[in-house]
Amino acid sequence: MAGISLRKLRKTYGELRVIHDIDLEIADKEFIILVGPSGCGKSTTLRMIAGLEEISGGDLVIGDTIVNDVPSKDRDIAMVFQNYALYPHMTVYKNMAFGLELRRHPREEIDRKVKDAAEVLDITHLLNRKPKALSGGQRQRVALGRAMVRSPEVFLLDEPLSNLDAKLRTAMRAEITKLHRRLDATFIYVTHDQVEAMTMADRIVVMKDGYIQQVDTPQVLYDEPANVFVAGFIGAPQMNFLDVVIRKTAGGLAAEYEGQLLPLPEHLARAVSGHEGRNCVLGLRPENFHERPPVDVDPALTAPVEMSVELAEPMGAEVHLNGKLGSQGIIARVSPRCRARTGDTVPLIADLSAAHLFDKETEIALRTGRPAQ
Amino acid sequence: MNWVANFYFREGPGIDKDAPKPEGLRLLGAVLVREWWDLLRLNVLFIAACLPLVTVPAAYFASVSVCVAMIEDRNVYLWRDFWDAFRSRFWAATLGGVVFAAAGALAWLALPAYAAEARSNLVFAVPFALVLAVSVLLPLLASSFLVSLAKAKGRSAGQVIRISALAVLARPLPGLAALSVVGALWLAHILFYPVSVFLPVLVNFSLGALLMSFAMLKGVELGCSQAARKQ
Repeated sequence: MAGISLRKLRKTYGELRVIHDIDLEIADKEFIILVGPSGCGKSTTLRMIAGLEEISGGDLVIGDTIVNDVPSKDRDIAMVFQNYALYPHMTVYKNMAFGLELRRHPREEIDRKVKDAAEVLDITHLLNRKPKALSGGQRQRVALGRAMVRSPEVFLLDEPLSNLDAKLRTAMRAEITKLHRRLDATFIYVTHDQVEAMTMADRIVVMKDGYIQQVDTPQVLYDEPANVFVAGFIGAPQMNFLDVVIRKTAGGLAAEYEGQLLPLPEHLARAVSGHEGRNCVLGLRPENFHERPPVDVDPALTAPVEMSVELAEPMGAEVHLNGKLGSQGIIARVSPRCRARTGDTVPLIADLSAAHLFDKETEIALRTGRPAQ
Repeated sequence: MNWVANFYFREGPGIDKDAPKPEGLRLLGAVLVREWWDLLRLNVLFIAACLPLVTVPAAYFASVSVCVAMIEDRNVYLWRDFWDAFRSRFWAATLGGVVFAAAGALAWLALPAYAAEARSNLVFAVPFALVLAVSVLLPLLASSFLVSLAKAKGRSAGQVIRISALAVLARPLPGLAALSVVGALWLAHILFYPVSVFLPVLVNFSLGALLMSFAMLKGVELGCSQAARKQ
């Protein structure tokens, strides 16, 4: 059993507080990803769990034991570092076996474990090679293998894919997900890449400035972001934000954006009911702009808008239109058949049924229960 | 000093899983490039292990055993594997060493005697030729015996001797070629002395063991598979 609890965990460097009393429950065998921009404290949190950073306050509980003062080597965890940290003078085999040798495991057991891990990671042919000869992807597998041979209850991975090229990163994402299923252990993974987080995690922890912003499954984070930061961080291209004012209309409540009234779905209207005139931020994802009226959306919840295109980015399966809606910049994701070019004005249909509303001041999401999709 | 770190930690080209395995001299070259540092250390270890003199055969067997692992691309923990091999076959290697040394001494004593007799009586040319052949093949047989000892774990002494003899008969040419290179290595040491004073300290023994093992290994594997088929 290796459930992990972070209870009011804090990290300070002198006067500077970098982790602010965070609480987090990580279930046994869960794949949880800490995500956030550089400097948000995700790696520091991971290193505190690993025992590589002293905990300034709060408790770290692994299983049923508070491990604040337990040395790193006794925490039954293994860590994979961003730069892999392989010993360059040792062969792959020796790199993988080193941790077990230090713990004085029997030679036969070390040999069996190293060979088993190499088999799983498909690096048997590399066992007698030195890291110097290995590519980034192969080094990454070796680093994973070195963690695997220890059969830890918890794997900590600190941006293990960030040194790989895009193609290899995609391949390794799938490999790590499969590995998690196979090993049946708890994985805590740090990345700043939200695509990695979305594709691999059971749950994602979004962090900013040493605070946890939201913890939930990837889909819930995408559908129901807790605030403007999470809404902007999760999703690529990121969500568009429009400064709006809540107005009462004959049909209910609407968001007024630069003179145009945008109808609000009922769950958002309920949230701002009685707050006419309130300044809010309306969030619309790039895929919520369409070239033609969407067939599966109530026409009353759509609004025609005109976008002046500043840049069209053909992506193959879709085109990303970068431009302006009135005075504010937006990105729309349209079909590859779209022929819009720089300088064109394109009529689009905004699907307000999928809109998000945030308080302008606090940036916190305003909503009541969203109807089932 | 960043360039040193960059050189040491930079990413390599990667190793293709399906790349054809090098064979023949390319394999030997790959082993030398990969294991040169361990070969230097092995040489020193061998010399140190030989200091009591009676340990020479077991130390040479341990060197051969490590070299076989290198050739077979197995992971080598030099110190541990050397002493494991040294201990595990100490008596067999020592006995083999005594027998081969005695045979070699006899051959070298007999050679000049038969050569002198052959000058006056041509009949003695036959035993002279035989002894000459034996004295050339003896180092091959000794190397083959040690490689067999390293490879043929769990086999009886008779089987090991049969396998090593078969290996020499099946593939004598690679053995002779390796023997020539080893001879040239020692000749270079003698000719270029004192410039070459460090040659034996650094490479002569371990490189010699590697070359001889490399030359005999295929024959020994052939012998092992023959023996396995018979069983």
